[in-house]
Amino acid sequence: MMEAVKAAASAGLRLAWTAVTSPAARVAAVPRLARACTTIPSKYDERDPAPLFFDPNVQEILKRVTGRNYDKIFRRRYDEKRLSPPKYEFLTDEELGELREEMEKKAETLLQMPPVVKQREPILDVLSRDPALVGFDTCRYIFTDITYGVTDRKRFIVVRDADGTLRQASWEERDRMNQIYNPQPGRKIRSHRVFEEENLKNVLDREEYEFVLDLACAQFEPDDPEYQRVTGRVYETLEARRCYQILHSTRHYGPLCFYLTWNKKIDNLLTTLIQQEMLSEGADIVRLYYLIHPDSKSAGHHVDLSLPLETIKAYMEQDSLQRAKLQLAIQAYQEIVQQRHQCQEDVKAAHGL
Amino acid sequence: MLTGLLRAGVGGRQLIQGWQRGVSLSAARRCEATDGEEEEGRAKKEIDPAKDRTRVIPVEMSLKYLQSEAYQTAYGEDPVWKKYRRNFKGAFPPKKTRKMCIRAGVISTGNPCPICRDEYLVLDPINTNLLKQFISPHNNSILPTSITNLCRKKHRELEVSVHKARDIGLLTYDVPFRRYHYPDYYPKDTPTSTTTTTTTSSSSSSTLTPGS
Repeated sequence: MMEAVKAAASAGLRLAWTAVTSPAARVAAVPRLARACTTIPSKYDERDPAPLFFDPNVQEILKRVTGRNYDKIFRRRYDEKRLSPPKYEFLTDEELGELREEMEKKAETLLQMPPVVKQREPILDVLSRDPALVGFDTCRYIFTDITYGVTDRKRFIVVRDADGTLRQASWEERDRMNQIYNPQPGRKIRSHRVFEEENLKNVLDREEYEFVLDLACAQFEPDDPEYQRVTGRVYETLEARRCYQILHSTRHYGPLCFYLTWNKKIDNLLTTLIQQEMLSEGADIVRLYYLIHPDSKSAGHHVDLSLPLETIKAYMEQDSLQRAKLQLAIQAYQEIVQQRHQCQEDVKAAHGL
Repeated sequence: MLTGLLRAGVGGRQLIQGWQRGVSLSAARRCEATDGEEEEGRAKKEIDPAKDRTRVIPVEMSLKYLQSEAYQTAYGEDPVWKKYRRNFKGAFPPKKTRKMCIRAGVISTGNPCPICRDEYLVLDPINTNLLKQFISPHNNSILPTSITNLCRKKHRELEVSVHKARDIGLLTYDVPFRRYHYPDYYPKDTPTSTTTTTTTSSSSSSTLTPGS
């Protein structure tokens, strides 16, 4: 345990802390937020995030920030499948290179980010009103077009109400019918009870963030208000507890960064990244901030790619909301770098170089 | 009265045949049947308290039991099914375990299954420490009865509890991967931009158009 802590301490202070403490301790360490998270998650219901999210520059930044820890990406999946014994192969260098490239492509597919889109508007389209049909039956009839080759989003689903109105089915009815006639794996017709407030709080206290996010992706569409509520809640909890690195190297890190940048809450994220000495990621986040909010004060400044610390400092001076903490973190980092440099110089001098 | 006798298991097949052919009971049984309440009270069997399972144990008590010294002494660190030995004739066990160990609130077998033998082990979604003992650590599936040796009724209860616990989120698992087709949410020909003022007609609009 001590070796792990020492290794973690050399990697960064934050890692050392997570190595030593348990989830319960981390939750309790943020005393004012150890009870239910009081911030209401914001939803994408005014401005449409889709043009920004699917922009190639933004996508490139988010993919770069996500990280490529292959041990985590290709970890064992506990999904009730039959286990197979591991394969050992002898390969030449070229074959090894080819296999590595294949695995990198596979990692890219596994890290595909769930789309970030605006919340959907309710469907109120009425096709015809036939009051002559009142009393034809006691229940509604839902007609679903199950033609092969039609995607779920473009399927025709119409409802004949008991009062004779023929209308397009609402989003809830559409989801239910699509799941009945075209079932998706991992999705239930009646939503999981995890997404209810009490159970969600329980799961988040046990720090099972990836589980909830994966389940939300499987169960809901990205424009479903429920999906945005659940994911917003998870992101707010992560922001409150400062444990962003749990989602590092997963498909959810990109949308998390996008959400925080959209809502101008990147200060804690930047502080955490500086403490872990991941300055290039910090600079990428600042660049993302300028792409999403081009009307911010420091956006016009020339962004120098080779000096990530300068980018972060420029952001901090102009637009930061928690300037003091960020400044402290930068100062601490600079001191550590200086001390390390000094140490190396001393070692060299001692060796007589 | 007759149904009472049937339930207590007295008579059995002969009594049922007697019922079907009209009420033609033997003389001895007719005397038993006509004697009234005090005979019923005495005819009721005394249940061995070790085999009595009529008392319903609440889940909270089971949760406390799993943390107690009594549990530690009985099972130690092993799962509750580890040291159970199933009885059968021959070298190979039958493919199915028995249907149930407890009939009418009484243990009706000499070697009850690991859950039925201990009345304080309650299968419930909240009781995750117990449920996890029956879940494979390698691929998260429920262990088969060939390993756990539970009776079929308790195995069914276990499956129901595990599914409920997974639904609530008390037990986690790896969800099947959801692949997205990006053009469904943002058609490829729609221009992307980094300005804030554009409001492109996104694909997730409320009105549906046929085909395209």
